[in-house]
Amino acid sequence: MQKDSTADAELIDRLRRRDPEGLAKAYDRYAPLAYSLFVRIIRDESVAEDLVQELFFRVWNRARDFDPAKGTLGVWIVSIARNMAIDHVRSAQGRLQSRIRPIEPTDQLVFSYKPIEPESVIDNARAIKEAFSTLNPNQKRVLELAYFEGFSQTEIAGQLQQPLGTIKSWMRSGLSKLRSVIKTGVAN
Amino acid sequence: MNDVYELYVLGVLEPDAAQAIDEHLGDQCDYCLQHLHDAVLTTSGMAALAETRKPPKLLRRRVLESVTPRPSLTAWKFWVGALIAASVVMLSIVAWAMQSARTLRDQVAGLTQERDQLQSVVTLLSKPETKTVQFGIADNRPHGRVFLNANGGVVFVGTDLPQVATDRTLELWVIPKNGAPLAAGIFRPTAQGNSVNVWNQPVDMAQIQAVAVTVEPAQGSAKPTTQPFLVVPVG
Repeated sequence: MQKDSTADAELIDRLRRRDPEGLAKAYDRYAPLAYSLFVRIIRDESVAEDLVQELFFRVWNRARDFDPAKGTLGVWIVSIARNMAIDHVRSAQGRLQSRIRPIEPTDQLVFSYKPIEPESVIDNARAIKEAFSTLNPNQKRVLELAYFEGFSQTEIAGQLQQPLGTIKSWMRSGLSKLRSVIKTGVAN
Repeated sequence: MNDVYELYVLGVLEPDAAQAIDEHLGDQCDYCLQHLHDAVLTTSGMAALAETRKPPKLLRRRVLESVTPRPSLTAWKFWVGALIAASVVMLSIVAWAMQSARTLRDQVAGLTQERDQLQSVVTLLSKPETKTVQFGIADNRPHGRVFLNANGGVVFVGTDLPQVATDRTLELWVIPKNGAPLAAGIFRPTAQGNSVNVWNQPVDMAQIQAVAVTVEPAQGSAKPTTQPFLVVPVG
């Protein structure tokens, strides 16, 4: 089976050449993941559909700026999708300025470091899913609130009525476990 | 320390801590870039924790149509427009052709009638028994000739005849010695005031007193409604 990173490079090449077939393939590969993420965060299928359309419109228009040697397409798409979704929720809820790391100005930084072996976001996600199942309920809860709700640690502490230090501890230990999975590819 | 980068990517860091990383990244710190890269991989994988949902089938088409032109629709519109335009042109041509044909038919009918009249006049003038009466010798007033034949009828040839309004016509009358005037046909003179009018009816030459012309309504009258402006005695 072709490695996703290699397939991504080919996809990016087609997108940069404004080949609609390239976008179709990118959609087939990543739209289910992005749509699931949108529905999970926004809880509205209709809005999720609109955001999927906007997401791939951005991918289409910004593909020329993306260097496949510097990162993977899937990570890029998922990062943009998550930021779009959290921004949408915060905007809808009237929450003040988003603290989500803005993907636009820092993309070059994030993707300017060439990994030794570019990972597949989908394979990576499978490992994360396995690792996540091994976390305790508190670790799961704080990471879900951070990732899917976009809450800050202080907000999570308020939500769960726990000391901020405890929240940081749960989050740190949870992330550490996930990180080790990424590095070893094995869930503990 | 490593979790700071994940927290940064997740956007859950407090503003001052996030700002510190922003500034550090601006210096292209290799260490930070490596850890930030790892953090992006870790956090992006969390997307898979969402329950898997299949996007609606129509969404794929919507996405692709949003970035590509729709030639089929454009072509469809173009051809429908072209068809409508062609139909309009075709209908205009047909209408014009029908109008032209109608005009030509009218012209042919007019010429045919004129030819028949001239044939009648020639026939009538060539007969020795035809009687000729000249009228109005002076210029600038109606003048011409009236030809009478017992079998051929009456031919009125006039010059300097008056122009009449569009809702009026000239009408020729044969006036017997006894009885009411006989309507002998309506006519309109040319722009030069000329006209030839033929009345193909057998006449009793001995009973005809005069020929007269009146101005009548456009469709003509059964009996004169105005005083004749021209009376030519033929008795």
